[in-house]
Amino acid sequence: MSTNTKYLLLLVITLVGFLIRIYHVDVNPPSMYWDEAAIAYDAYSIATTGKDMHGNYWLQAIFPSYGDYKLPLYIWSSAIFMKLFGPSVLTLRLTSVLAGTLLIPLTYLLTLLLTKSRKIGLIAALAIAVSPWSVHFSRIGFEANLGVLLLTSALTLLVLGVKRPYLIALAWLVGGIGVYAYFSVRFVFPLFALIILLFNWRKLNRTHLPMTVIGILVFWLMLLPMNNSPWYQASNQFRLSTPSLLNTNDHIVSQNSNRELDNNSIISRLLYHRYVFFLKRVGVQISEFLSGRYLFMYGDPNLRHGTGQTGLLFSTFVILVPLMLLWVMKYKKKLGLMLGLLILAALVPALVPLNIPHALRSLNAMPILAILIGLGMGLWWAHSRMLFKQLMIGIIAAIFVLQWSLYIHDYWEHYPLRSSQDWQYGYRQLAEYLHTIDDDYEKIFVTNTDGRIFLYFLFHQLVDPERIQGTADDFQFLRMGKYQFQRIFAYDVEKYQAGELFVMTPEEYNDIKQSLVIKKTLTNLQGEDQFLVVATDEQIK
Amino acid sequence: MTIHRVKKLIFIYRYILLILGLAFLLRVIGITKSPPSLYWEEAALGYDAYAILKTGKDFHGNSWPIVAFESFGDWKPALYFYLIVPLIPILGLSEVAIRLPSILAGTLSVGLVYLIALQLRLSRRTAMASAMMLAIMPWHLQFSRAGFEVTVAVLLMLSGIWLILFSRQKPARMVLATMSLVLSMYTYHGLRLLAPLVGIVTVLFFIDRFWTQRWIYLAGLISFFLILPLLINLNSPQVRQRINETSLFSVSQAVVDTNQWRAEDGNSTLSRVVHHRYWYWLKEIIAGVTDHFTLNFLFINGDGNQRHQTGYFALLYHWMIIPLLAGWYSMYWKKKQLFWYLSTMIVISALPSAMTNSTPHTLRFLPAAPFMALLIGYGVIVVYKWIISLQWSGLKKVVLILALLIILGEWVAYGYDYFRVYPKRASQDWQYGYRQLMEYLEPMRNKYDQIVITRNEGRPSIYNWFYWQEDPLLVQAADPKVPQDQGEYLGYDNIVYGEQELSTNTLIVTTQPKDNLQLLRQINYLNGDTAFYVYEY
Repeated sequence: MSTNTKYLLLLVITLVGFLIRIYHVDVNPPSMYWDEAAIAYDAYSIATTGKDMHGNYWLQAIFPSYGDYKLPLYIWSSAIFMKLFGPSVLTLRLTSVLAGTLLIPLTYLLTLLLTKSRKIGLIAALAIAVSPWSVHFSRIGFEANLGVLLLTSALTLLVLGVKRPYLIALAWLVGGIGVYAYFSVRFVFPLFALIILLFNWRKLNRTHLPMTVIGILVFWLMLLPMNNSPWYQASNQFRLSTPSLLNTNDHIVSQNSNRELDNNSIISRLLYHRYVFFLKRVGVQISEFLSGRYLFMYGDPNLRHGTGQTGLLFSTFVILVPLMLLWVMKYKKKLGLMLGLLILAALVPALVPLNIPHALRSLNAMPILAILIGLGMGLWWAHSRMLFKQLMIGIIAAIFVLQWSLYIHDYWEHYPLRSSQDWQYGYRQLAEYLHTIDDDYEKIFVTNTDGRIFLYFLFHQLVDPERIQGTADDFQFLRMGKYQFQRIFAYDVEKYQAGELFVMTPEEYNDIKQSLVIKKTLTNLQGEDQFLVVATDEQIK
Repeated sequence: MTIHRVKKLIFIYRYILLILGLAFLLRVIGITKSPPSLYWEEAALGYDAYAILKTGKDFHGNSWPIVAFESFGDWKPALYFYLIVPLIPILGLSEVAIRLPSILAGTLSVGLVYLIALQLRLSRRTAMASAMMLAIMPWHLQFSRAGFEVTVAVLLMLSGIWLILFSRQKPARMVLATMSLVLSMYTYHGLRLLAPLVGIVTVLFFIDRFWTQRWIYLAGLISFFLILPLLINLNSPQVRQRINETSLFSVSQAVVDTNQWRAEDGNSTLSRVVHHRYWYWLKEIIAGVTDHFTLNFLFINGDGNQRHQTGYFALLYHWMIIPLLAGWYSMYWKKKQLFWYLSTMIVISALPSAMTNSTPHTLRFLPAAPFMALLIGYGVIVVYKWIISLQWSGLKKVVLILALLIILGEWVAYGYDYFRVYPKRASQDWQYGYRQLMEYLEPMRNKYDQIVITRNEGRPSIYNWFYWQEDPLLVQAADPKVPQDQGEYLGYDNIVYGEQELSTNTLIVTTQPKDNLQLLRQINYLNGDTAFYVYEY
């Protein structure tokens, strides 16, 4: 195959990847999750007023958002697209789509640099283009996907930097930018840099280390605005408040109970040391990320992070990956070890929280896994002397096509129904419906059993940001013009006044033993009742 | 055979004999201390064997069951019961008698791994390393040291494999081989599926032109007749009960999900194929298999059941991950047939467990242990050769000593925990306290009109009969009269198991403290928590 054909192939792969990612991206996943809605409204607010929804100037390192402190890069990028194409779900998700698409040629480039083989590069690129893991997150407006692109760019620069040391400084700069897309890059990138340096130890000359020092300096400077942000402390607290290895004390409990059983003998102090139990705990975390059930069969149980019916890789890989590793270790031991270490490094931030396995937090490992797969397949292709090798490749390819079709079928036909609740489906429909009738009412009470429903009203009713900037209470907009968001109880309905409308869940409706008239029922994608728009008897008269 | 000849044989086989001796010692030392007490299944094995010995019938009154003993409605396969029977006259109805078949089976399995390794044309050194790995493996130790049928079943499976391999020299051995495999099917539930698979796979891998071997046809015919009792009973509770209780296929989620997907696709013909529940189950089974190959399961915590592993260690020592991976890698490139054979065996060993609704499962997966030992043993030699080949002799020594220290250190840590702390940590899991309770109650059983014993700790009746050495005739006679829950008696003589209205002159055994009653005795677990309170009313 000539080089030109290969570039053409790469172009085709990238184009296919782009089409898979952008096709009806605003319809499936079936609704914006509230993180997306928050980003969307902040972006809209910036695009129209130059300030975020709380009235802060757009150039800030941390956005308070609805109280979970978001990073700026994705919001800025969405703001640009909203300025250009107007506010919509599509423009919100466009950044992620493009990041996922650009990752395809980038992975090709990185693989080429690492393996010197265009064929392996193409396999890796194809693996990214069609992988359920990448496709899934490229269709969602989560910051992680942008983070992966920047992290992988920085990694590519690091690899290039082995020959052209000045690029190392640039790599640290890009890594520093990446931190503003996704927080975990802050920990992963320095580990990447360390690994690349270690594995190229013999090739280093006097310019590499000074460049690295400059790079670290740049990285540190890059982080300054974030560390000095007024929200920095609060955002750290927010992040650390989730249950994680850092705040669990299981290992101390195990230590104490076991030592006590052995009457606190000296040996028991050694054997049942809390570090032993802590190490076991870390091992369990790693084990979860490497488990076959997660990687090959069902993926992340969180339906926003996967379809729940496909792993991060297709199930055929449950046999192929172990065999590929044998080939990689035989023919490319050093590179294989390096990629393995890079994957582990990419997993480090994901290992800390106890909510595992987590396909989103471990997304940083995805391109490297694709390279590993490309490498394994390419090496087998090049070295195997198996009879009927072509036939075998054909069979494997056919199985992949079949599995991929099944995945796409599930993604388009069944996944939206299965996951509509996880995506807060119905909030948008409610906001849009109420928008058509809210002129007739003085006040509208909307249930917020799930919380954060106001974000959907802000974005889908395109509330003028200037009207609400600065009115938030603890970053929540629970009163917004006519709208009031709260749980609905019987006494709220009892003391109703004329011109008031209530929106409640079926459960709340059943709890209120009063004659009410249902004006409109909104259902979720499975056809179950989700919201009841209710007026009282007297109102109807 | 002269003494001289014996001495010579011992000398030739001194190393493997030492390993066997070590294996036996590790399996027998302190057998009554850890595990600390008899689990109800062990007690049930023991008492049914006792009943067979005395009356020729099990405690329900069925005579000489062949396929399975009803026991507590779980229909335990029969062979282990009959292995205990001859031990009772010698050792009495005791812990040792119940556990001895397992101990011996575990020890002999170590020897068989050695023999199989030799048959697989591995070097004597590798064979010994493999045997050694099984001898010290926490996973295998755990089950060899308690009355679990699975150890005997694994022994029979291994002897079947060895005999199949041996039949390459003496074809007639094939008949013995299949008989051994069939026997294993009468020993443990999982082997009913696994043993035929193991036999077929081994024959396919190692017997050239097997269809020309007339002994295979004879063996097949004989084993068919031997399996007949199982086949005839295939739909009776003797075989079905356990399958129905634990099988993946009895969970209806598959049907619900696939039906919904079909409906979402408008019930088209294609959707009936794509969303068939067989695919759903196939996926579940593959996922179940993979559950047995996680770090957590093999090296860190195991399956979470404290009877199946100590929890401080899981199935393998931590250091074994290095020889396991090294052995697996090296075998792929140097002994490809063996690589595929062992990989296949390990994967199909996970099948019986994967087809149930609780994966992973240390006990059901035990048949894989000898194959793991072969891989790890091979890997130990690979790693050893690699260390020896290191250029710098100082480094060589350091690495060797360090490796030895780690291996010894983990061994000591495991042993220390197993004998000192594990019995205390897991005493409730082993139903500790029943023995003490029953020994306390025995002298006063007739002083009270009624004795009420709680069922909170599970199956008190079997401990009653076991520790009181109750006459099986009396128990059998009670069978039609007392209410039962899945074969468990809810009353016997003047004893009521469970809850009961209190009347005068009653003895009550509870797991929770009660007010207004006179406390006679408190029986504690080894960790100091209270297992039973004995009150008088």
